[in-house]
Amino acid sequence: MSSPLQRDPASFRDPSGYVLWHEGQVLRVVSPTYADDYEALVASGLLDVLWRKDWLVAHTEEPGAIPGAEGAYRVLRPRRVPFVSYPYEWCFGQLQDAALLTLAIQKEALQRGLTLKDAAATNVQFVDGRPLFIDTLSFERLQPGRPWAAYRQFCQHFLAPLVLMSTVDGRLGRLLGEYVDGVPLDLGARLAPLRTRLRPGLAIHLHLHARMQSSASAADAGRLARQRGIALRGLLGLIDSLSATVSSLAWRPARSAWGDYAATADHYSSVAAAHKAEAVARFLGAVRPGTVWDLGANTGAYSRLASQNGALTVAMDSDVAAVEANYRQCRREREIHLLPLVIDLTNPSAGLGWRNAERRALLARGPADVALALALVHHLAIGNNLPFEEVAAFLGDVCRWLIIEFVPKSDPKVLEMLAGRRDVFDGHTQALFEEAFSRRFAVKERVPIRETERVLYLMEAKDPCSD
Amino acid sequence: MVSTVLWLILAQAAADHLLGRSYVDPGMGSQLIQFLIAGGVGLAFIIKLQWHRIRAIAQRLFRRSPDLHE
Repeated sequence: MSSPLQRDPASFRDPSGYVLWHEGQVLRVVSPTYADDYEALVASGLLDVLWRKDWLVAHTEEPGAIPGAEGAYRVLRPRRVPFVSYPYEWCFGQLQDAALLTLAIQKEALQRGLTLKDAAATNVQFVDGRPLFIDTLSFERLQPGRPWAAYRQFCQHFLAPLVLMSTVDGRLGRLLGEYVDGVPLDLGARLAPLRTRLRPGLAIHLHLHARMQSSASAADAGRLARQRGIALRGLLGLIDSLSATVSSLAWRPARSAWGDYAATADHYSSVAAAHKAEAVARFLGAVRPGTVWDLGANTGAYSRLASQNGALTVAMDSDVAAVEANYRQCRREREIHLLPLVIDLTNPSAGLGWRNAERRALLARGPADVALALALVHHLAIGNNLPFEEVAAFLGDVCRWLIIEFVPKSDPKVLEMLAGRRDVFDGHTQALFEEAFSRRFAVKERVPIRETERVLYLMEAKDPCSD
Repeated sequence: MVSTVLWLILAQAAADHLLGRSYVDPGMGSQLIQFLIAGGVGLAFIIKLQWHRIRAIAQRLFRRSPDLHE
């Protein structure tokens, strides 16, 4: 008989335990080898401190043995993260907040005789609009005198990409998809502008640190063995210095990028914009979704029609400046149901890491109850030469219900897109759009948007995706 | 060749001694740099924590006594 338990394919590196899936719930199995550290963690009071601050995922201990997890020291049932995102999908502000949370937790741990043994960015997830540390087994007892084992990992996962995003280009966070254990420090140091060498924190934690990676040799082991050890204040000083360095980084998106959003908003007359928003809200009210993916969400104006009614809404856009603006608004207004992410729909996140299974593909994280595809189709069909059938097939894979806006060739935005190129889009008509989509969806309602030639549709997927 | 192997064994022993059970490879350079900077950042951290006291002491030391004003 096969066990209903499935081991999470991303959970294998840390021998302290592993993650199991049991009837749609997550279980964290604590190995006997981690028993002493686990008891020290419980006795330290750190869990309560971190839970009170909402920094660490809450869990309960399973009272009895779990069939299939025999031999476990403990089995924990943590709160489930409703939507898992990855660092290469985060904007600058999200990665910075995750970095500062990791450091704040390490500081609390050090003061209670514990330390983080790893500092991977994937230990953090965004839940209720804020970063949350999810790896409860990352703590171990602090061995007096020992350096921080996760220092290099922290600098690779957080510091190097943040420096590059801040000083070179906000899009460089995408490097974290290429390098799943963080941006190699020598690469980060090479790509960072010269002026970063003049900032003490970056000179030490990035440039000198990178240099020591390549220059440290086996011969340095002798020096290492002779060291007397690092005092607790040295470790706290290291965390304080990293926090100050990370906090000092800032990213201001190019002025033109911000300007473009205002221009987009101005593109509609106020009557058209209000009518579109009212129709989208009405469609959402009819479906009452639990999860919504807003595809091409820009700064999330329409995403909020869903999130403000309690639907967990993932606002995806390939423009990092738009996602940054959206995230800042979420934090400022303490929005708990909205998660902005950097996603390029023409190349959505693939399965990455070991056996392509450590980081899940975007499509494996769906389907959403509703997908919003507003002012999107012309970008895919004309901007990216995707036939309507392809767009319909993709959308049919990601949602159960679809709210989609058809934008005809006569629309000023499309005319703008076609201005500099040959028009090879004879098939871009409303009739052919409906024909292509009717293979995957049943059209429930169509609403022509006032003062435009655009049409908004509510469609239901014909072949509902299974959970 | 023999000396390289000896150094590697020594490095392994040093890493075991310093890092215990950690499963992440901390990197030799990343450990060394912490020994180099720990004194400095530790001192800076203490100064930062005690800054209000240091400033108060400095102000007391350099403040002119009231009778000099009069």
